[in-house]
Amino acid sequence: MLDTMFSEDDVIFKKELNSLLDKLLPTNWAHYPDETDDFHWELSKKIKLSLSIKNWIAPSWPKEYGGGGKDITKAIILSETMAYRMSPGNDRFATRMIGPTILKYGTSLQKKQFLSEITSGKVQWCQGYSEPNSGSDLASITTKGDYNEETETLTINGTKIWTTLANRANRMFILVRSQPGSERHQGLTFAVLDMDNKGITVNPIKNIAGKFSFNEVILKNVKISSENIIGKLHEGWKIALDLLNFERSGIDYIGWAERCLDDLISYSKKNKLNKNEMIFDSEAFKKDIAILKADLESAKIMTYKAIWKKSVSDDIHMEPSMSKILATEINNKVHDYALEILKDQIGFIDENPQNNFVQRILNHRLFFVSGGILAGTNEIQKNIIAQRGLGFPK
Amino acid sequence: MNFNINETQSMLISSAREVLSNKYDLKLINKRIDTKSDYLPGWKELQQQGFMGMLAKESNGGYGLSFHEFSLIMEVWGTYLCSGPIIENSIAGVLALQKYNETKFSEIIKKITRNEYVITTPLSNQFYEKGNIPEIKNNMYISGRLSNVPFFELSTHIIFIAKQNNIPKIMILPTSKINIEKVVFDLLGNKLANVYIENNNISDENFIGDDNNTHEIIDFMMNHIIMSKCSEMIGASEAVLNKTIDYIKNREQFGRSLASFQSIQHKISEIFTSISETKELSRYLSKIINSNQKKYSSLLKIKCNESLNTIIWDAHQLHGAIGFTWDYGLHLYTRKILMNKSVLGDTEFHSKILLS
Repeated sequence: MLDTMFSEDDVIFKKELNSLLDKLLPTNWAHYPDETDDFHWELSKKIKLSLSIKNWIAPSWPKEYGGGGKDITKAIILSETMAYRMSPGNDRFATRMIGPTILKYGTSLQKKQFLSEITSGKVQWCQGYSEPNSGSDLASITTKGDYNEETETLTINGTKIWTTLANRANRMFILVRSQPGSERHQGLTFAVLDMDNKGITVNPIKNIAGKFSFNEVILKNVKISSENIIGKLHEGWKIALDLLNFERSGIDYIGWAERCLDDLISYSKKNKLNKNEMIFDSEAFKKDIAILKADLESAKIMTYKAIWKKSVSDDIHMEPSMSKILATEINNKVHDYALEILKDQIGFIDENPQNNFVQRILNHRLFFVSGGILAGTNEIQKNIIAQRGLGFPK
Repeated sequence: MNFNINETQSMLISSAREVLSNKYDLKLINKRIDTKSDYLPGWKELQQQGFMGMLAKESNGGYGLSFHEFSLIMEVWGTYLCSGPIIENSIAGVLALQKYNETKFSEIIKKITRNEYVITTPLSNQFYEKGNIPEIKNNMYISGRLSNVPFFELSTHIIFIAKQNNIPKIMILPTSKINIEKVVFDLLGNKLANVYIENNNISDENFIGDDNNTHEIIDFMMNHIIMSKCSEMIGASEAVLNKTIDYIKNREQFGRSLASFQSIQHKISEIFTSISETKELSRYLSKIINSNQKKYSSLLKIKCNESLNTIIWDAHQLHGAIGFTWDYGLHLYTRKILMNKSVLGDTEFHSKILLS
């Protein structure tokens, strides 16, 4: 419904993107993009290269760095469409987190090196924020970054955890405590590093859905040059937070939720509720689906607004938090409802291809437990809305 | 893609706030409910400021503003619990007449913009509640009843659905020859008239549209009336939010501010988020709504019915006992939101349209 917000040029872009994905994705592709899986990973690399040829990896970045030079709407369409198609190859760590951060805070050398590398489609990034025992409290990090003024190097020691795709990534952006004795938000440095550096060990962690989507990353005497520091030494907190605002739009969850809802409606038109009635013909089903659709559209418009606002202004506090909550919650709600409709079939593993839809919804719902937790739990987002947005006390 | 409110729209909102904010009087609204008085906060003030000509073209004596801009005013209207036939005049009166029969009705539109005519309509009652439909006989006379007509006594004309040989027609008649049978009241004490028409003479002048576009005109009116009522609900919800924040920040319990409790902060964030998403959806859809897009108004009505209904009960929980009282005023917003939810089609009704 919100497609009416798009210009003619946007609609053409979406159509061309879908055509490209039609060619690249296997027929009837309906798997959550799990790039830890070898097949998905190869597909991801192929799709990235194809997007790169068209300058579509980062459609809204400047052309000089391999971007498309277009407005932010194209980036929204790209992310939402790829999520809807469940396509791998959309490296959100690169295009929606570190990329915009380097564009804003990076030196011209950093921009040239890292942004051009991202748009070439040949790298995968990961995020070095979370640490064991730090939970959602990002300011409590203890990974050390000892700066040597003579050699102008930062030596990193510590452990990062829940690091999605660290086992595939070429690069990581990381937040380290560079000022000895500093506390909380002070004395932190934001940097980028090569995952091939000596001293990095990646230990995969199996998730609830049985996949190895995230990892523990141990950094032992990992040395990086001062040229890899983004912004100023010891002043990384503001950059780290700004990056989170890029991260929190929740646009992927909108695409995944919409796909699930559309597929559920298709399923309801082909399957019976009882002997006489198709699921779709049930008044109760229609009412529930309509409420979900209304929630989805309003969440979607909030994600659009959050991304758009971040692209035009730094005066942004609550929009990313609101859109993150809304997008992750509606995605879970839609999957929960699908599970409710499919409840008689989810209790056992069924290899029958005809029942792939059931298995997929179950696996996805398990995986999407993470949505409300990652990038700052939804409870943290509510704190942000109340305290930074509405002036409530900390 | 642009989510900004432009300078003209900001000025319009400020101007409406200035006019309406000091007209809201909790005691007088309570009194209206108690004594059935005729207190209509905001109505005369908006009339005097020329707001009846908001949607009329300049050639019809108006300002030629868009429906989106009208929706922004309706948010303010809802925030201050204003009362009066602004939707009836602006949508059924100006917007629909201007779109479908401008030449024929330009004089009426001009008189509405000059506040010489006031329009009412029971359209929503007829359409959604399957209310009474008067009947046209011999192409010359009309008879029948109309239920729950809002603001009938201050209106000069009424727009409604009639039928001729079982074919729906849209009519406009002067109210002077229509009689009140009974007066009932809505949850906020506003009068609703049950009226009857008895063999009133009619002519071509009384028909809006023709056989080919009657359904389209009805859809056009209903879509815009629904959207307007939703904007009004959103405005009322924002007032609830502000009232709740104000209360929480000034109330102490267990030796500390209520605002310092995380559970309270989370609940208020949820309310704020819910209103924000609904408002954003409403503002966007008000830019693109048209006659043949029933799905848009249905989508918004479902969202408002379900989400804004929830926030009002949460606000009561956050207020504790004070919100349960008559004199504090939260109940007025509760009534407003419940009332708007109960009219113009429930979620079940709109879900069928949305999924058709």
